[in-house]
Amino acid sequence: MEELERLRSQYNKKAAIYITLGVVVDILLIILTRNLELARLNITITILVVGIKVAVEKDKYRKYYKENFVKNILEDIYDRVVYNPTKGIEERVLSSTGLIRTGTTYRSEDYIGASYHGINFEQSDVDITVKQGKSSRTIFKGRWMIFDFNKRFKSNVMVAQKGFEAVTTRSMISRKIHSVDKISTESESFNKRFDVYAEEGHDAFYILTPVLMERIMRLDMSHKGQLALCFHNNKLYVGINDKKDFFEPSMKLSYGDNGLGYEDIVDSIKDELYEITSFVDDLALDDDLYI
Amino acid sequence: MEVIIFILVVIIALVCAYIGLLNALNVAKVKIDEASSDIDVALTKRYDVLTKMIDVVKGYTKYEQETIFKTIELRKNMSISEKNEASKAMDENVAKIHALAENYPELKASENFNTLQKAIADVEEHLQAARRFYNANVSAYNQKLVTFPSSLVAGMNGFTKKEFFEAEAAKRSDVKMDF
Repeated sequence: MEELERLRSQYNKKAAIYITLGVVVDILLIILTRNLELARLNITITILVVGIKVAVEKDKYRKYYKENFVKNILEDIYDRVVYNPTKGIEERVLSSTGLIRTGTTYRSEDYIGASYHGINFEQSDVDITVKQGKSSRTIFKGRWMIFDFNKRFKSNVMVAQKGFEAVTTRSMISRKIHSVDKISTESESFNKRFDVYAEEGHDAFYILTPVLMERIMRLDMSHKGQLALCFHNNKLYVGINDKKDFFEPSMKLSYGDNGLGYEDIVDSIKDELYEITSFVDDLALDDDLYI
Repeated sequence: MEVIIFILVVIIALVCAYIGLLNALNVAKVKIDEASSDIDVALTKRYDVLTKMIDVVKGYTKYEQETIFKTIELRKNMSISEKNEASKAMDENVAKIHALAENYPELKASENFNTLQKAIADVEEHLQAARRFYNANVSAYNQKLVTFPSSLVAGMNGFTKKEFFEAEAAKRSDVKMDF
Protein backbone atom coordinates (compact mmCIF):
# COMPACT_ATOMS: atom_id res chain seq x y z
CA MET A 1 0.00 0.00 0.00
CA GLU A 2 2.89 2.34 0.75
CA GLU A 3 4.31 1.92 -2.74
CA LEU A 4 0.87 2.54 -4.25
CA GLU A 5 0.44 5.72 -2.24
CA ARG A 6 3.99 6.81 -3.14
CA LEU A 7 3.23 6.41 -6.85
CA ARG A 8 -0.08 8.24 -6.49
CA SER A 9 1.53 11.22 -4.71
CA GLN A 10 4.41 11.21 -7.19
CA TYR A 11 1.97 11.30 -10.10
CA ASN A 12 -0.04 14.19 -8.61
CA LYS A 13 3.09 16.17 -7.77
CA LYS A 14 4.72 15.68 -11.17
CA ALA A 15 1.46 16.45 -12.99
CA ALA A 16 1.18 19.72 -11.04
CA ILE A 17 4.83 20.58 -11.74
CA TYR A 18 4.66 19.81 -15.47
CA ILE A 19 1.43 21.75 -15.95
CA THR A 20 2.72 24.75 -13.97
CA LEU A 21 6.05 24.73 -15.83
CA GLY A 22 4.27 24.47 -19.14
CA VAL A 23 2.02 27.45 -18.37
CA VAL A 24 4.95 29.56 -17.10
CA VAL A 25 7.11 28.77 -20.16
CA ASP A 26 4.26 29.65 -22.51
CA ILE A 27 3.53 32.95 -20.75
CA LEU A 28 7.21 33.88 -20.78
CA LEU A 29 7.53 33.06 -24.47
CA ILE A 30 4.46 35.12 -25.31
CA ILE A 31 5.83 38.10 -23.37
CA LEU A 32 9.34 37.81 -24.83
CA THR A 33 8.53 37.09 -28.47
CA ARG A 34 5.22 38.94 -28.80
CA ASN A 35 4.57 36.69 -31.82
CA LEU A 36 1.09 35.16 -31.88
CA GLU A 37 1.92 32.43 -34.42
CA LEU A 38 4.97 31.35 -32.45
CA ALA A 39 2.95 31.53 -29.26
CA ARG A 40 0.28 29.23 -30.75
CA LEU A 41 2.94 26.74 -31.83
CA ASN A 42 4.59 26.87 -28.39
CA ILE A 43 1.30 26.25 -26.63
CA THR A 44 0.61 23.23 -28.88
CA ILE A 45 4.07 21.77 -28.24
CA THR A 46 3.75 22.44 -24.50
CA ILE A 47 0.38 20.72 -24.31
CA LEU A 48 1.82 17.72 -26.19
CA VAL A 49 4.94 17.43 -24.08
CA VAL A 50 3.14 18.00 -20.78
CA GLY A 51 0.42 15.57 -21.86
CA ILE A 52 2.94 12.85 -22.66
CA LYS A 53 4.89 13.37 -19.44
CA VAL A 54 1.73 13.29 -17.30
CA ALA A 55 0.45 10.22 -19.18
CA VAL A 56 3.72 8.35 -18.56
CA GLU A 57 3.53 9.02 -14.81
CA LYS A 58 -0.14 8.07 -14.73
CA ASP A 59 0.58 4.84 -16.60
CA LYS A 60 3.27 3.85 -14.10
CA TYR A 61 0.80 4.28 -11.28
CA ARG A 62 -2.08 2.49 -13.05
CA LYS A 63 0.16 -0.39 -14.10
CA TYR A 64 1.36 -0.94 -10.54
CA TYR A 65 -2.22 -0.91 -9.22
CA LYS A 66 -3.47 -3.37 -11.81
CA GLU A 67 -0.58 -5.83 -11.61
CA ASN A 68 -0.26 -5.85 -7.85
CA PHE A 69 -3.83 -5.37 -6.65
CA VAL A 70 -6.41 -6.04 -9.33
CA LYS A 71 -4.72 -9.24 -10.53
CA ASN A 72 -4.32 -10.66 -7.01
CA ILE A 73 -7.88 -9.84 -6.00
CA LEU A 74 -9.27 -11.44 -9.19
CA GLU A 75 -7.25 -14.59 -8.50
CA ASP A 76 -8.74 -14.72 -5.01
CA ILE A 77 -12.30 -14.38 -6.30
CA TYR A 78 -12.20 -16.73 -9.29
CA ASP A 79 -10.72 -20.22 -9.43
CA ARG A 80 -9.46 -19.87 -12.96
CA VAL A 81 -8.99 -16.36 -14.27
CA VAL A 82 -7.00 -14.72 -17.03
CA TYR A 83 -6.32 -11.02 -16.54
CA ASN A 84 -4.37 -8.79 -18.87
CA PRO A 85 -4.37 -5.09 -17.98
CA THR A 86 -2.87 -3.95 -21.27
CA LYS A 87 -4.91 -6.01 -23.74
CA GLY A 88 -8.60 -6.42 -24.31
CA ILE A 89 -11.16 -8.06 -26.59
CA GLU A 90 -9.87 -7.79 -30.16
CA GLU A 91 -11.56 -5.43 -32.58
CA ARG A 92 -12.30 -8.21 -35.09
CA VAL A 93 -14.26 -10.13 -32.44
CA LEU A 94 -16.69 -7.25 -31.84
CA SER A 95 -16.73 -6.36 -35.50
CA SER A 96 -17.81 -9.92 -36.40
CA THR A 97 -21.10 -9.40 -34.58
CA GLY A 98 -22.07 -6.79 -37.17
CA LEU A 99 -23.65 -4.77 -34.39
CA ILE A 100 -20.95 -2.29 -33.55
CA ARG A 101 -19.24 0.04 -35.96
CA THR A 102 -15.55 0.22 -35.40
CA GLY A 103 -14.05 3.65 -35.91
CA THR A 104 -10.74 5.28 -36.60
CA THR A 105 -9.36 4.23 -33.26
CA TYR A 106 -10.13 1.10 -31.27
CA ARG A 107 -8.57 0.69 -27.87
CA SER A 108 -9.26 -2.03 -25.34
CA GLU A 109 -7.68 -3.06 -22.04
CA ASP A 110 -8.35 -4.87 -18.78
CA TYR A 111 -9.15 -8.23 -20.34
CA ILE A 112 -10.72 -10.72 -17.93
CA GLY A 113 -11.52 -14.30 -18.86
CA ALA A 114 -13.15 -16.35 -16.09
CA SER A 115 -16.13 -18.45 -15.17
CA TYR A 116 -19.10 -17.66 -12.92
CA HIS A 117 -21.71 -20.28 -11.96
CA GLY A 118 -20.35 -22.46 -14.76
CA ILE A 119 -20.77 -19.71 -17.38
CA ASN A 120 -17.57 -18.71 -19.14
CA PHE A 121 -17.24 -15.00 -19.75
CA GLU A 122 -14.80 -12.44 -21.11
CA GLN A 123 -14.82 -8.71 -20.60
CA SER A 124 -12.74 -5.67 -21.39
CA ASP A 125 -12.90 -1.88 -21.41
CA VAL A 126 -13.31 -0.56 -24.94
CA ASP A 127 -12.89 2.92 -26.46
CA ILE A 128 -13.96 3.61 -30.01
CA THR A 129 -13.47 6.98 -31.67
CA VAL A 130 -14.40 8.21 -35.13
CA LYS A 131 -13.01 11.07 -37.15
CA GLN A 132 -15.20 14.10 -37.66
CA GLY A 133 -13.47 16.51 -39.93
CA LYS A 134 -10.24 17.51 -38.24
CA SER A 135 -11.26 16.33 -34.77
CA SER A 136 -12.28 12.93 -33.43
CA ARG A 137 -15.25 11.93 -31.34
CA THR A 138 -15.73 9.06 -28.94
CA ILE A 139 -18.73 6.97 -29.90
CA PHE A 140 -18.20 4.23 -27.36
CA LYS A 141 -16.50 4.22 -24.00
CA GLY A 142 -17.40 1.47 -21.60
CA ARG A 143 -17.17 -2.28 -21.41
CA TRP A 144 -17.94 -5.25 -23.60
CA MET A 145 -18.71 -8.64 -22.18
CA ILE A 146 -19.06 -12.02 -23.89
CA PHE A 147 -20.96 -14.84 -22.18
CA ASP A 148 -21.79 -18.44 -23.03
CA PHE A 149 -25.49 -18.49 -23.89
CA ASN A 150 -27.81 -21.28 -22.88
CA LYS A 151 -29.64 -21.68 -26.20
CA ARG A 152 -28.35 -22.88 -29.57
CA PHE A 153 -29.40 -20.77 -32.53
CA LYS A 154 -28.45 -20.39 -36.18
CA SER A 155 -28.48 -16.69 -36.98
CA ASN A 156 -27.55 -13.37 -35.40
CA VAL A 157 -29.99 -11.37 -33.30
CA MET A 158 -29.10 -7.82 -32.30
CA VAL A 159 -30.78 -5.71 -29.64
CA ALA A 160 -29.71 -2.11 -29.14
CA GLN A 161 -31.09 0.65 -26.98
CA LYS A 162 -32.43 3.46 -29.15
CA GLY A 163 -29.79 6.12 -29.57
CA PHE A 164 -26.87 3.74 -28.90
CA GLU A 165 -24.42 5.68 -30.94
CA ALA A 166 -21.89 3.01 -31.85
CA VAL A 167 -24.50 0.67 -33.30
CA THR A 168 -24.45 0.32 -37.04
CA THR A 169 -27.55 1.27 -38.94
CA ARG A 170 -29.62 -1.47 -40.48
CA SER A 171 -28.15 -0.88 -43.95
CA MET A 172 -24.64 -1.15 -42.57
CA ILE A 173 -25.52 -4.32 -40.70
CA SER A 174 -26.92 -5.78 -43.93
CA ARG A 175 -23.67 -5.10 -45.73
CA LYS A 176 -21.53 -6.58 -42.98
CA ILE A 177 -23.39 -9.83 -42.52
CA HIS A 178 -26.42 -11.35 -44.17
CA SER A 179 -29.44 -9.17 -44.70
CA VAL A 180 -31.37 -8.44 -41.55
CA ASP A 181 -34.93 -7.48 -40.77
CA LYS A 182 -36.10 -5.09 -38.12
CA ILE A 183 -38.26 -7.05 -35.71
CA SER A 184 -41.23 -5.77 -33.70
CA THR A 185 -41.86 -7.91 -30.67
CA GLU A 186 -45.25 -8.11 -28.97
CA SER A 187 -44.00 -5.94 -26.09
CA GLU A 188 -44.65 -2.28 -26.90
CA SER A 189 -42.51 -1.07 -24.00
CA PHE A 190 -39.58 -3.19 -25.21
CA ASN A 191 -40.02 -1.94 -28.79
CA LYS A 192 -40.04 1.66 -27.54
CA ARG A 193 -36.75 1.24 -25.71
CA PHE A 194 -34.86 -1.12 -28.02
CA ASP A 195 -34.36 -1.76 -31.72
CA VAL A 196 -34.19 -5.45 -32.65
CA TYR A 197 -32.58 -6.76 -35.82
CA ALA A 198 -32.34 -10.41 -36.87
CA GLU A 199 -31.30 -12.48 -39.84
CA GLU A 200 -34.11 -14.93 -39.02
CA GLY A 201 -37.26 -13.69 -37.32
CA HIS A 202 -37.80 -17.10 -35.73
CA ASP A 203 -34.45 -16.91 -33.88
CA ALA A 204 -35.34 -13.45 -32.58
CA PHE A 205 -38.54 -14.80 -30.99
CA TYR A 206 -36.79 -18.00 -29.84
CA ILE A 207 -34.14 -16.01 -27.98
CA LEU A 208 -36.22 -13.00 -26.89
CA THR A 209 -38.86 -14.74 -24.81
CA PRO A 210 -41.21 -12.46 -22.82
CA VAL A 211 -39.29 -13.38 -19.66
CA LEU A 212 -35.91 -12.48 -21.20
CA MET A 213 -37.24 -9.20 -22.57
CA GLU A 214 -38.51 -8.29 -19.12
CA ARG A 215 -35.10 -9.14 -17.61
CA ILE A 216 -33.28 -7.06 -20.23
CA MET A 217 -35.48 -4.06 -19.45
CA ARG A 218 -34.83 -4.46 -15.71
CA LEU A 219 -31.10 -4.72 -16.30
CA ASP A 220 -31.23 -1.64 -18.50
CA MET A 221 -32.85 0.32 -15.69
CA SER A 222 -30.29 -0.84 -13.16
CA HIS A 223 -27.27 0.11 -15.29
CA LYS A 224 -26.24 3.61 -16.20
CA GLY A 225 -25.34 4.13 -19.82
CA GLN A 226 -26.75 2.60 -22.99
CA LEU A 227 -27.06 -1.12 -23.54
CA ALA A 228 -26.59 -3.26 -26.64
CA LEU A 229 -26.79 -7.05 -26.90
CA CYS A 230 -25.86 -9.34 -29.73
CA PHE A 231 -26.66 -13.06 -29.84
CA HIS A 232 -24.00 -14.39 -32.17
CA ASN A 233 -22.31 -17.82 -32.59
CA ASN A 234 -24.20 -19.19 -29.57
CA LYS A 235 -22.75 -16.47 -27.35
CA LEU A 236 -24.16 -13.29 -25.85
CA TYR A 237 -22.23 -10.08 -26.44
CA VAL A 238 -23.15 -7.15 -24.17
CA GLY A 239 -21.96 -3.59 -24.55
CA ILE A 240 -22.52 -0.88 -21.94
CA ASN A 241 -21.69 2.60 -23.13
CA ASP A 242 -21.38 4.38 -19.79
CA LYS A 243 -18.20 6.43 -20.29
CA LYS A 244 -16.56 4.54 -17.41
CA ASP A 245 -13.12 3.01 -17.11
CA PHE A 246 -12.99 0.03 -14.81
CA PHE A 247 -10.27 -1.07 -12.40
CA GLU A 248 -8.78 2.41 -12.15
CA PRO A 249 -6.92 3.51 -9.02
CA SER A 250 -7.98 6.58 -7.10
CA MET A 251 -6.25 9.79 -8.19
CA LYS A 252 -7.58 12.00 -5.44
CA LEU A 253 -8.11 9.82 -2.36
CA SER A 254 -4.97 8.61 -0.63
CA TYR A 255 -4.10 5.03 0.21
CA GLY A 256 -2.79 3.78 3.52
CA ASP A 257 -3.53 4.39 7.18
CA ASN A 258 -5.16 7.75 6.62
CA GLY A 259 -7.11 6.81 3.54
CA LEU A 260 -8.30 3.83 1.54
CA GLY A 261 -7.23 0.44 2.80
CA TYR A 262 -6.80 -2.90 1.07
CA GLU A 263 -10.38 -3.88 1.95
CA ASP A 264 -11.65 -0.72 0.23
CA ILE A 265 -9.81 -1.75 -2.94
CA VAL A 266 -11.27 -5.26 -2.71
CA ASP A 267 -14.79 -3.83 -2.25
CA SER A 268 -14.47 -1.48 -5.19
CA ILE A 269 -13.23 -4.27 -7.48
CA LYS A 270 -16.04 -6.58 -6.30
CA ASP A 271 -18.57 -3.80 -7.08
CA GLU A 272 -17.15 -3.55 -10.60
CA LEU A 273 -17.23 -7.34 -11.03
CA TYR A 274 -20.84 -7.36 -9.89
CA GLU A 275 -21.63 -5.42 -13.08
CA ILE A 276 -20.49 -8.51 -15.00
CA THR A 277 -22.00 -11.22 -12.82
CA SER A 278 -25.35 -9.43 -12.60
CA PHE A 279 -25.82 -10.29 -16.27
CA VAL A 280 -25.41 -13.99 -15.54
CA ASP A 281 -27.80 -13.83 -12.58
CA ASP A 282 -30.42 -11.45 -13.95
CA LEU A 283 -30.60 -13.03 -17.40
CA ALA A 284 -30.45 -16.55 -15.87
CA LEU A 285 -27.67 -17.52 -18.26
CA ASP A 286 -26.83 -20.47 -16.01
CA ASP A 287 -30.27 -22.03 -16.60
CA ASP A 288 -29.28 -25.19 -18.48
CA LEU A 289 -32.78 -26.35 -19.36
CA TYR A 290 -32.15 -26.00 -23.07
CA ILE A 291 -28.66 -27.45 -23.37
CA MET B 1 -49.67 23.76 -69.55
CA GLU B 2 -48.57 24.06 -65.94
CA VAL B 3 -51.90 22.71 -64.80
CA ILE B 4 -51.47 19.65 -67.03
CA ILE B 5 -47.96 19.01 -65.69
CA PHE B 6 -49.25 19.39 -62.13
CA ILE B 7 -52.08 16.92 -62.75
CA LEU B 8 -49.64 14.46 -64.36
CA VAL B 9 -47.29 14.71 -61.35
CA VAL B 10 -50.19 14.07 -58.96
CA ILE B 11 -51.35 11.05 -60.99
CA ILE B 12 -47.82 9.60 -61.12
CA ALA B 13 -47.46 10.13 -57.35
CA LEU B 14 -50.77 8.41 -56.68
CA VAL B 15 -49.85 5.47 -58.93
CA CYS B 16 -46.46 5.12 -57.19
CA ALA B 17 -48.17 5.25 -53.79
CA TYR B 18 -50.70 2.63 -54.89
CA ILE B 19 -47.94 0.31 -56.16
CA GLY B 20 -45.91 0.85 -52.98
CA LEU B 21 -48.85 0.03 -50.71
CA LEU B 22 -49.83 -3.00 -52.80
CA ASN B 23 -46.26 -4.30 -52.67
CA ALA B 24 -46.15 -3.81 -48.91
CA LEU B 25 -49.36 -5.83 -48.52
CA ASN B 26 -48.00 -8.62 -50.75
CA VAL B 27 -44.70 -8.69 -48.84
CA ALA B 28 -46.64 -8.90 -45.56
CA LYS B 29 -48.60 -11.85 -46.97
CA VAL B 30 -45.38 -13.65 -47.99
CA LYS B 31 -43.96 -13.11 -44.51
CA ILE B 32 -47.07 -14.74 -43.04
CA ASP B 33 -46.60 -17.73 -45.37
CA GLU B 34 -42.94 -18.03 -44.30
CA ALA B 35 -43.92 -17.85 -40.65
CA SER B 36 -46.62 -20.45 -41.25
CA SER B 37 -44.09 -22.89 -42.70
CA ASP B 38 -41.96 -22.16 -39.63
CA ILE B 39 -44.86 -23.45 -37.52
CA ASP B 40 -45.00 -26.57 -39.72
CA VAL B 41 -41.32 -27.27 -39.06
CA ALA B 42 -41.76 -26.77 -35.31
CA LEU B 43 -44.88 -28.97 -35.20
CA THR B 44 -43.11 -31.74 -37.15
CA LYS B 45 -40.11 -31.65 -34.80
CA ARG B 46 -42.41 -31.75 -31.79
CA TYR B 47 -44.36 -34.65 -33.30
CA ASP B 48 -41.12 -36.61 -33.91
CA VAL B 49 -39.86 -36.14 -30.34
CA LEU B 50 -43.29 -36.90 -28.92
CA THR B 51 -43.49 -40.15 -30.93
CA LYS B 52 -40.13 -41.23 -29.49
CA MET B 53 -41.32 -40.36 -25.99
CA ILE B 54 -44.52 -42.36 -26.40
CA ASP B 55 -42.47 -45.36 -27.58
CA VAL B 56 -40.26 -45.11 -24.48
CA VAL B 57 -43.37 -44.81 -22.26
CA LYS B 58 -44.97 -47.84 -23.90
CA GLY B 59 -41.80 -49.81 -23.27
CA TYR B 60 -41.91 -49.09 -19.55
CA THR B 61 -45.67 -49.38 -19.11
CA LYS B 62 -45.66 -52.63 -21.08
CA TYR B 63 -48.25 -51.18 -23.49
CA GLU B 64 -50.90 -50.98 -20.72
CA GLN B 65 -51.54 -47.32 -21.45
CA GLU B 66 -51.30 -47.48 -25.21
CA THR B 67 -54.86 -46.36 -25.89
CA ILE B 68 -54.80 -43.20 -23.81
CA PHE B 69 -52.72 -41.26 -26.33
CA LYS B 70 -54.47 -39.21 -28.99
CA THR B 71 -53.77 -39.98 -32.60
CA ILE B 72 -52.25 -37.01 -34.37
CA GLU B 73 -52.07 -36.41 -38.11
CA LEU B 74 -49.82 -33.86 -39.70
CA ARG B 75 -50.48 -33.16 -43.37
CA LYS B 76 -49.17 -30.70 -45.89
CA ASN B 77 -51.10 -27.44 -46.40
CA MET B 78 -52.98 -27.62 -43.11
CA SER B 79 -54.93 -24.47 -42.20
CA ILE B 80 -54.02 -22.52 -39.07
CA SER B 81 -57.01 -23.90 -37.17
CA GLU B 82 -55.98 -27.48 -38.14
CA LYS B 83 -52.44 -26.75 -36.92
CA ASN B 84 -53.97 -25.39 -33.70
CA GLU B 85 -55.90 -28.63 -33.22
CA ALA B 86 -52.79 -30.75 -33.87
CA SER B 87 -50.81 -28.67 -31.39
CA LYS B 88 -53.53 -29.04 -28.74
CA ALA B 89 -53.62 -32.82 -29.27
CA MET B 90 -49.83 -32.92 -28.75
CA ASP B 91 -50.23 -30.84 -25.58
CA GLU B 92 -52.68 -33.42 -24.23
CA ASN B 93 -50.30 -36.28 -25.02
CA VAL B 94 -47.41 -34.48 -23.29
CA ALA B 95 -49.57 -33.92 -20.20
CA LYS B 96 -50.52 -37.64 -20.18
CA ILE B 97 -46.86 -38.65 -20.47
CA HIS B 98 -45.94 -36.50 -17.47
CA ALA B 99 -48.85 -37.89 -15.47
CA LEU B 100 -47.82 -41.48 -16.37
CA ALA B 101 -44.21 -40.83 -15.41
CA GLU B 102 -45.40 -40.10 -11.85
CA ASN B 103 -46.82 -43.63 -11.64
CA TYR B 104 -43.82 -45.40 -13.15
CA PRO B 105 -40.68 -44.42 -11.18
CA GLU B 106 -38.40 -46.46 -13.46
CA LEU B 107 -39.62 -44.44 -16.42
CA LYS B 108 -39.04 -41.16 -14.58
CA ALA B 109 -35.50 -42.20 -13.68
CA SER B 110 -34.66 -43.36 -17.21
CA GLU B 111 -31.85 -41.40 -18.88
CA ASN B 112 -33.52 -41.82 -22.25
CA PHE B 113 -36.76 -40.34 -20.94
CA ASN B 114 -34.97 -37.40 -19.29
CA THR B 115 -33.06 -36.61 -22.49
CA LEU B 116 -36.33 -36.65 -24.43
CA GLN B 117 -37.96 -34.40 -21.81
CA LYS B 118 -35.25 -31.80 -22.37
CA ALA B 119 -35.64 -32.21 -26.12
CA ILE B 120 -39.38 -31.69 -25.92
CA ALA B 121 -38.89 -28.59 -23.76
CA ASP B 122 -36.64 -27.15 -26.45
CA VAL B 123 -38.96 -28.00 -29.36
CA GLU B 124 -41.82 -26.42 -27.40
CA GLU B 125 -39.74 -23.25 -27.06
CA HIS B 126 -39.24 -23.33 -30.84
CA LEU B 127 -42.98 -23.82 -31.37
CA GLN B 128 -43.69 -20.85 -29.07
CA ALA B 129 -41.22 -18.78 -31.08
CA ALA B 130 -42.80 -19.87 -34.36
CA ARG B 131 -46.25 -19.02 -32.97
CA ARG B 132 -45.17 -15.57 -31.75
CA PHE B 133 -43.35 -14.87 -35.01
CA TYR B 134 -46.42 -15.89 -37.02
CA ASN B 135 -48.77 -13.80 -34.85
CA ALA B 136 -46.46 -10.77 -35.08
CA ASN B 137 -46.58 -10.97 -38.88
CA VAL B 138 -50.38 -11.50 -38.88
CA SER B 139 -50.81 -8.51 -36.56
CA ALA B 140 -48.69 -6.28 -38.82
CA TYR B 141 -50.64 -7.46 -41.89
CA ASN B 142 -54.08 -7.06 -40.26
CA GLN B 143 -53.13 -3.56 -39.10
CA LYS B 144 -52.39 -2.63 -42.71
CA LEU B 145 -55.88 -3.81 -43.69
CA VAL B 146 -57.60 -1.46 -41.27
CA THR B 147 -55.40 1.65 -41.45
CA PHE B 148 -55.63 4.32 -44.09
CA PRO B 149 -54.44 4.45 -46.88
CA SER B 150 -53.41 0.79 -47.17
CA SER B 151 -57.01 -0.21 -46.25
CA LEU B 152 -58.18 1.30 -49.54
CA VAL B 153 -55.67 -0.67 -51.59
CA ALA B 154 -56.45 -3.83 -49.59
CA GLY B 155 -60.18 -3.41 -50.23
CA MET B 156 -59.63 -2.88 -53.96
CA ASN B 157 -57.56 -6.06 -54.25
CA GLY B 158 -59.57 -8.43 -52.07
CA PHE B 159 -57.11 -8.80 -49.17
CA THR B 160 -58.75 -10.36 -46.10
CA LYS B 161 -57.77 -10.68 -42.46
CA LYS B 162 -55.70 -13.66 -41.34
CA GLU B 163 -56.39 -15.62 -38.17
CA PHE B 164 -53.92 -15.86 -35.31
CA PHE B 165 -52.34 -19.06 -34.10
CA GLU B 166 -53.99 -19.38 -30.72
CA ALA B 167 -52.44 -20.06 -27.33
CA GLU B 168 -53.34 -23.45 -25.91
CA ALA B 169 -56.88 -23.40 -24.53
CA ALA B 170 -55.71 -25.34 -21.43
CA LYS B 171 -53.21 -22.62 -20.60
CA ARG B 172 -55.86 -19.92 -20.95
CA SER B 173 -58.39 -21.59 -18.64
CA ASP B 174 -58.22 -21.10 -14.86
CA VAL B 175 -55.84 -23.45 -13.11
CA LYS B 176 -57.59 -25.62 -10.53
CA MET B 177 -55.56 -25.92 -7.33
CA ASP B 178 -56.33 -29.19 -5.57
CA PHE B 179 -54.53 -29.69 -2.22
